[in-house]
Amino acid sequence: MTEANGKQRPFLGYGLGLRRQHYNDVLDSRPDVDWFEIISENYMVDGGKPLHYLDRIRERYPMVMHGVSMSIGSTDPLDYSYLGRLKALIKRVEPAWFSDHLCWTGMDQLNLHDLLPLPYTEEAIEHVVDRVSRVQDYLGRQMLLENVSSYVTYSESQLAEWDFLREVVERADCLLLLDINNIYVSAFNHNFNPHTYLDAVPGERVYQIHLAGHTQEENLIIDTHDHPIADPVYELYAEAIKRFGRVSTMIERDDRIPPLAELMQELDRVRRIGESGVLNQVA
Amino acid sequence: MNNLEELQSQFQNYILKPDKATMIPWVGLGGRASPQFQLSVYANAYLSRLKEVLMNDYPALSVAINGDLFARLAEGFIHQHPSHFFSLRDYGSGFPVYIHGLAQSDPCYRDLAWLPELASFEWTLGQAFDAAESGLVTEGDMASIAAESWPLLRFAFCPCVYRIDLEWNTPAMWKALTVDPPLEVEAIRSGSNSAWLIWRQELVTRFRSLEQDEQLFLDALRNGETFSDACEILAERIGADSAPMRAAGLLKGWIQQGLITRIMFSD
Repeated sequence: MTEANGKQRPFLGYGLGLRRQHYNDVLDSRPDVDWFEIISENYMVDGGKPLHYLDRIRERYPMVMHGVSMSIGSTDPLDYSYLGRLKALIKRVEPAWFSDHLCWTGMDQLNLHDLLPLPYTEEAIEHVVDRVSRVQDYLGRQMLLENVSSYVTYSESQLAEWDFLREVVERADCLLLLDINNIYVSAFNHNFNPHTYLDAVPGERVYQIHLAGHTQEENLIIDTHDHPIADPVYELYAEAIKRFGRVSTMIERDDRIPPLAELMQELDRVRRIGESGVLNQVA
Repeated sequence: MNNLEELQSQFQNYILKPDKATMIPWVGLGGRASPQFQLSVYANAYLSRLKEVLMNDYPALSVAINGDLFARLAEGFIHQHPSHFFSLRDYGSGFPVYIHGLAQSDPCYRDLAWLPELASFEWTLGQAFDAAESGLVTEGDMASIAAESWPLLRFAFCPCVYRIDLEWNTPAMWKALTVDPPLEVEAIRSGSNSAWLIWRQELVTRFRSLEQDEQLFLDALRNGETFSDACEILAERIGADSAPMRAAGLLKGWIQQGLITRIMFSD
């Protein structure tokens, strides 16, 4: 798969989110993980264990950075003190790319530490596009935006989520981190067909895919990242690979974190699906 | 206020004060769950996420008092102190001051006078844990200093070095409460402040008590006094004859423990 400008999309292989519970295991056993994703904010500290392990693991593995606090959709001014720390961390880590979420996390200088959905309106598109452009100018590189899972919609929304997402990334000329679990969760919660979502995604901009587990409740799925990936999410991932070709893919696990070996088994299944999609394409 | 700003304001107000929200016409009706239930997921997640942060930052404190009381304490703090931080790492910084205020004013905490000190101790351990790295002075560096330079030397301590005064047996309580399973421990007030040092040696956070002469000498040097002036303060405590040897021994120990980052010579 190539980008719109003809450039080959980089492919890192199959990765995991780096979690502190696995630091020593990663260094001791050198698992067959192609790359790691770090949560940027966890390493915006002055010193100590987090940075010690970050540097050592970075020496051995490719990395990408994933943020949770940029609040690109907030109506507050962009936080340049945050962006300055992000810039310094990018310089330290030299990641293949960095990403954050298409969401807002608070206003009036507050941080609710959650990934809150935006209304799908022209006003929100213009607002986010302008801010993504300014972030990309400040950091001197393209960013990846991730689709979030949501539990509410806004009565004011004029577009479907996938149209909103496509408009933002194309107008801002940024890239996409497509979270397949988030599509599945939101499709259940808001009664839409996840395949319609995939059909609308500009595949040439998808540089990374997230997979994760969730918690099913009676009328709602919650994006908890505390379970193995569910079968329907694997199936949706296979659909995504059919459409977009081979994409750097990783598993996010943030709670009830199992031993590394268990995640490696999950990653094997992900790898098989990711690679079989390519074989199908060639055939 | 434009539409986006208005919507975000209403959403944020709901999350911060869900009990006060009556009308939520801005929430779409297309979902499987009711709008009220959908929104409650965000409000519940906000509270439980920040409570979990406080439990992780204050592990001994959360064990020391019963779960209901800790939950009440945490929720009270969360309601009064929404986060201004981009990282959850910093969220609990104001918790010790909040607890101190409650201990002064709320009868529920009258028998828990040791609680603010335990909270401050735990937060300081966390501060030492991820303080900035710094180069360390070695015994070799010290040995190479000419004798005539010594009186005017000043010492810079690593950013991970913290000096605190404790009125209670807080370190012993912390140790007992953070083993698995936690041990029974009684809070004991010593009657006077004791000096403690908290720092990180390589990647391990450590703490130890300070003898009174060590505390005087350390405080003097950390306040920027010269070696000579700090020795005078030490001499007032232990006598002029003993001070030089004691000073040399203390410096050597601090270097071995990784406390000193730089020696500053007089111009």
